[in-house]
Amino acid sequence: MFCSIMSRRLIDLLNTLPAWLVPLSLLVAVEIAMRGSGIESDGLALPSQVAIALAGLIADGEIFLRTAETIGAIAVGVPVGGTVGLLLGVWLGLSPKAAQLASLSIELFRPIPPVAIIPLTLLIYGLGIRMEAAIVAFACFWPMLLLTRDAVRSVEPRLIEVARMLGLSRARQIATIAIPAALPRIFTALRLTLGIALIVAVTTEITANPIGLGYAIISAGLSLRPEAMYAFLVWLAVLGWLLNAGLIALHRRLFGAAHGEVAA
Amino acid sequence: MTGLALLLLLNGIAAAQTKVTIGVPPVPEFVLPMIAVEKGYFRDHGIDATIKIIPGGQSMPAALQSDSLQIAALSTTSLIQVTDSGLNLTIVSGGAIASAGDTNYGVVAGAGSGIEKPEDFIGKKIGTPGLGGFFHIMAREWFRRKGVDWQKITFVESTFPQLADLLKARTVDAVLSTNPFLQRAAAPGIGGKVFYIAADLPDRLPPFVYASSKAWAEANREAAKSFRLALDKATAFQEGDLPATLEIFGKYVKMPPDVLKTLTINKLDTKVTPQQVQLWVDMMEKQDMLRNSKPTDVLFLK
Repeated sequence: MFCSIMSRRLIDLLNTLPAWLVPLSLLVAVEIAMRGSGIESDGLALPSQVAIALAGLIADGEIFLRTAETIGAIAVGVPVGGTVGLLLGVWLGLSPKAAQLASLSIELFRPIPPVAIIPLTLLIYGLGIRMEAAIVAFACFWPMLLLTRDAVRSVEPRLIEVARMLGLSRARQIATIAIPAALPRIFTALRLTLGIALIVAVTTEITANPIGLGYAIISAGLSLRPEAMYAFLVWLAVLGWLLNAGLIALHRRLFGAAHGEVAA
Repeated sequence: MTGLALLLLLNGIAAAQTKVTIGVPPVPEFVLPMIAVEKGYFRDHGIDATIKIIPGGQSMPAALQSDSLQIAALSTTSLIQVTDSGLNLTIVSGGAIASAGDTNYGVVAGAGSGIEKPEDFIGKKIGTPGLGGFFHIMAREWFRRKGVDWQKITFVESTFPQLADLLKARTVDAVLSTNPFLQRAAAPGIGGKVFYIAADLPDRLPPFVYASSKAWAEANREAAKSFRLALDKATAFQEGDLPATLEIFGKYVKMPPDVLKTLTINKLDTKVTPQQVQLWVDMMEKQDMLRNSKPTDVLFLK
């Protein structure tokens, strides 16, 4: 009896705790452990040093410049790759014949890791935002294509039948029935695509492109400033979280709780 | 009237400037273009230069080919390899010289690794910045000259800042390193014996050069020549004033001030000859790294 009351109280207490307490506690534990062990390394930094470095990067504005570069490449790459993927996905979702003809090509090209096309895009576009946007577009094209295709396929067939019976043209069928019905799932695809875009953009910057947050991370690491390197990493995590939270809020606002595909 | 004349004159000067974007890694040996920008040597020679700091050298050849960089610092071995594979690049200027007396290229054995002489490396693991890169090639040649079969040594890739940590954690038995990372790896408790490999390699090896695409160099012969003249002035500055040189380097590559102060710079020299480049080709051929043997003078602008 006593035990069950205690465990209920513990559960109640845990339910009242905010989620940010977990990463904060982990950072405090790391700080204590590192200070206790007296560890010295060119690749590690105390969380407190990272926090100071992050404040410095925010104060001098460098972090915003680097963020703008990364977001700039995403802002170009996602619409390009996403739009092409969306249009092709709708087409393949509506036309089983086209889907069957395209299936081999999709399965052949889809597994190519986006970073594997860095040398090719570098030769075509050179260093800079265009090269990175091209890689992001390539990375975003595939999930958008497949998820849109599946979203359109899952539209209630009777809706399409009614549209046909009403004599709607193919274009109107797509615009008034297929896309609106599939929109919540397409939006989920966009959310996943943006997450992929951020990963691919930063990886490209770390590997080859001297702009953005990825470049800042690798540069700080190579110039023996691990605290700045981790500060950029923390910022990147916050950025990813904000991006996701923003899109979830937008999803709820646009489609409401009825389309309960959103998991925070 | 005088103002207008001055404006026209200034416009004329601005128009005569050739815009050049120069890619260099964040290492003190590549400080010369930074000095030439900061001290106005490029401007005096009609070059409007922008420096791009690019970690690692992998993307430099493609960036030259795509014209997003006009000149880039490339390791000489990388230049030899990419031209061997068909890219049309040319040497615009020399960069540095590794002389036999250099203490900037070392293999640091781990403390307690038991490595005291070259033969002790057999069966051991060496942390290497850039497999197949110039440092790795130098080390393999050094082992060959010491009568040690380098194929019996395992080289594992790592970035420079991680080398000391790898050695400390005994993940590797030794590391190949250069300053300031070499000093950190050789610190008491982490490193043991240091083998300075340049002492047993050919003298006056050019570890890197400044290169451009052949098309750019042919179209901008004057600028290519001026680039080297500006670097000559920068070399004189660097030889005369190391603290000011490091201060300029610190403007481009943010480093902790205590690390910046400890940096040393190898002998920098813009002169490089086909014979010096051939020294690398000879080593690389012995290591089966080249497919098409070409005379090294094709790497120079005629």
